Amino acid sequence: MSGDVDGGRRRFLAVSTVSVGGAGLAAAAVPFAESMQPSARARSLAAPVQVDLAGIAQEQMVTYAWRGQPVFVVHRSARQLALLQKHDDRLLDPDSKVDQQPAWARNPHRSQRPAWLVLVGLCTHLGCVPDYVGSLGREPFDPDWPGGFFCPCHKSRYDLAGRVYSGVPAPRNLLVPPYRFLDDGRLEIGIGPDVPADAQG
Amino acid sequence: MMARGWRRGWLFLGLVCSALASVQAADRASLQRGERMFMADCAACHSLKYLRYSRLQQDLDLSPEEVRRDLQRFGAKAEGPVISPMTPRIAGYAFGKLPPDLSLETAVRGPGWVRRYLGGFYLDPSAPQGWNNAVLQNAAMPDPFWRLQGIRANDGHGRPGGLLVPGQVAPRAFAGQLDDLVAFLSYAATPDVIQRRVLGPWVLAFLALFTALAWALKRVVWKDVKGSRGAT
Amino acid sequence: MSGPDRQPSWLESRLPSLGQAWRKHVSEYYAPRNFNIWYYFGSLALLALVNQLVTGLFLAMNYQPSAQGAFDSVQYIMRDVPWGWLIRYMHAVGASLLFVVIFLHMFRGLMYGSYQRPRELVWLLGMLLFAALMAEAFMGYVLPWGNMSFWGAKVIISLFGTVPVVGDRLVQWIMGDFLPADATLNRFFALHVIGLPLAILVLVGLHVLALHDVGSNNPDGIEIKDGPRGHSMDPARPADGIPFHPYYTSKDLVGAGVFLWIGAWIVFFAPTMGGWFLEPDNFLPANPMLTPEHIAPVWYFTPFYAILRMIPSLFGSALWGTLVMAASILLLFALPWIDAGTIRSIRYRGRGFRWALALFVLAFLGLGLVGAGLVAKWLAVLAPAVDAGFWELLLGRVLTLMYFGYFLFLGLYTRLGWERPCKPLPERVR
Repeated sequence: MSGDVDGGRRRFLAVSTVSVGGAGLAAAAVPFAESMQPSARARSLAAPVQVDLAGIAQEQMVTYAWRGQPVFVVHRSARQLALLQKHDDRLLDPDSKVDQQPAWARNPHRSQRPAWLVLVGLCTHLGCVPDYVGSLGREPFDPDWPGGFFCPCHKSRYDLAGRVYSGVPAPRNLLVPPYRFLDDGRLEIGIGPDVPADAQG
Repeated sequence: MMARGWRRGWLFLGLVCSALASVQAADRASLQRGERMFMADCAACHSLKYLRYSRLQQDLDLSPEEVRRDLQRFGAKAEGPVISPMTPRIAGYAFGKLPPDLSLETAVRGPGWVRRYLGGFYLDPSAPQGWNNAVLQNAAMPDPFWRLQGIRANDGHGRPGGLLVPGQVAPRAFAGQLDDLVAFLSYAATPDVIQRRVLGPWVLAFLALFTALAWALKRVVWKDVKGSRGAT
Repeated sequence: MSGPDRQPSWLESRLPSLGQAWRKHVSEYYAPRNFNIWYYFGSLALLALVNQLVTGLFLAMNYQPSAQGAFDSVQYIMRDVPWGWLIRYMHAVGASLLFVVIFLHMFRGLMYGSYQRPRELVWLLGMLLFAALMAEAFMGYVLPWGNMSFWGAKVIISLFGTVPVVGDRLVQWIMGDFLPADATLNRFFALHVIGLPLAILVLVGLHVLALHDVGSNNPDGIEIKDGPRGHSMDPARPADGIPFHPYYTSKDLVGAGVFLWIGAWIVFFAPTMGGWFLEPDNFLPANPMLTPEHIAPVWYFTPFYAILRMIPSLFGSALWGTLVMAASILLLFALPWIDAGTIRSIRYRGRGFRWALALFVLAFLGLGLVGAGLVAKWLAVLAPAVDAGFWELLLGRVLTLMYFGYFLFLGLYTRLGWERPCKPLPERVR
């Protein structure tokens, strides 16, 4: 009936047709899968938030909404910064070994510039929003409080770099989100410093 | 039968090539000019609520400075829609109704209608706005282009007549500007046109390849059907 | 490779039905060897249906079925959802292409007598599918909640109001409100996404099973089972049959390629098809206060809509138009019994049949032009002096008579001995 030549040709054509068709089907599946990614509207609602730093006094904290989360921006004073390294023995992860911050925040003040602290304001225990307690000295929960955050839900405590104390329910330091300085007076939460300030996100 | 098969193959390929050749790439420069004109002359009153600035910049390859200036001017965010600052209250005083959103205007009316409308303004002291339009009589819209096009009189039959005050732009150049603006509005109605024109030829080429392979396979498979017309 | 000593696979020993179904319906289903171009449209209809189901599923992920959110959600899909525009166009263009395929598929049946004994049930199931498809398409068109969606819904639903006694209550029941509103949209969504697709899938399954149980017809209209036995691959099978796989699977693959190419051309370069697939008025949100200038249904309904419009109100009721329009579809159901002829295929039937079928097609196409409002438009342009409305009505009524005349003619032609076959039936398929 069909010779060997035809049989070989037939098999080659069958394989190539099925391969090309299969590749086409796989390529056609991509738009459908991609359509399930966050849409432009979702991304716009999750867009970066700009912060005007001039309006934040020293030792003041302001909260911004970003991606449905509270983000703390703290203007740390010199005296607050001075106390930052004095209590490493009371902290669970003083050197920020656990991955709760980008590489550029793995430093003693857990930020790009010492004066400015940017943290996601959600307790790493069960997600409550901690209170900012910037005053130094005696506090009801700590006689020698060097400033930081106190979570009302289960009494977890963090210092002024967002590092968690040992012996509290929370297991990790507060999360540092990506942010960048657009200039000396403005900060943008949501985009990291590796993206230059004049480019769109 | 072989000859017939090959002839059909060439015919098919010819159809493919002519289809691809007849497709023109979207004229990006024209769209950019149209976008500038829209922002300059229309956006103060008309919104494009379904269109985002970030999408606009991406599709039309606009310069970031221009977009930032527009964002500042209109108090908008890059990911937000193009919304005019015209409020219903001010619009009520000025025009009697809110200038409509233009996102889908060319899809509803057709680009030809919109083009004729934009070119149809003339001075008409008897109209509430002092302007009238040949295509839409008693439209509440004043002529946004009178500085460019000049002011034209009513010819008595509801159409633009003689030039009363010359404009800054020569008539043919102005006509080109209106063409650009309408092209931009057509893009705004269906922004997918950009991606479609880029992707389309590739999809067609791939499908042509697949069909050619399938056809060759079919011919080999059908060889043993005796006396078959084997015809596709 | 295969043979009586081969061990059944893990799947085969637990679900032998799969293998049996594959053999019975694909690899050992013997179809006539002389299928021509008219025989592509069944498999293409299946392909188009799969397209509608898949694209429809993904559209439903982002579509909002509320009167408030529907229109905006369609723009959201077109602009903000990654590749949403492609999925939407594939769905809208796919719907129109499905109707093109189905009309050609049905015409094949008319030409080759595929509805005749013993395939009456295949035809009936197919007609039920056609009716389900029309309902599905109508509801789908309402979903974007554009102005044509709203007004089209209002007009078509009001047809049910012509039913005597219960008409008004029936309309209210269908709409769930006093005009097409949120309630209407929501239930159309449920029916369009779940109700009718399930019915359609069941009907497609039955349609194919009914066909396979009696065997396929062919362009010569003679049964291959009546021909000689003894196929080169299987001595028990008809000599003029060939297994569906690999012959018709390979052939249909080419058909699929051409169909997809045409579909892709439309989707990428002309998705609105000049306003025939996506109508301009539907880019305006639904507005109960603003009737579009010309309310016309989507192109695939235009012939039936024309028939509806051609029948005047009589005795104070608009019911007659509805009844005649329904009859135009019901007569198609009855075709296997109207046509009492013994010859199936147009190739061997008398000249009268060919003329009648040609006129039927012309009538159908002409009615489509009337229903779309094109005849009135062209008359107004070509001959402004004449009363376009009068001439359109006259032409439309003549075409309606031609349409119904086909069935009347066929009934008489095959019963009064008028049929004179032009050629003797062949012994074997050509």
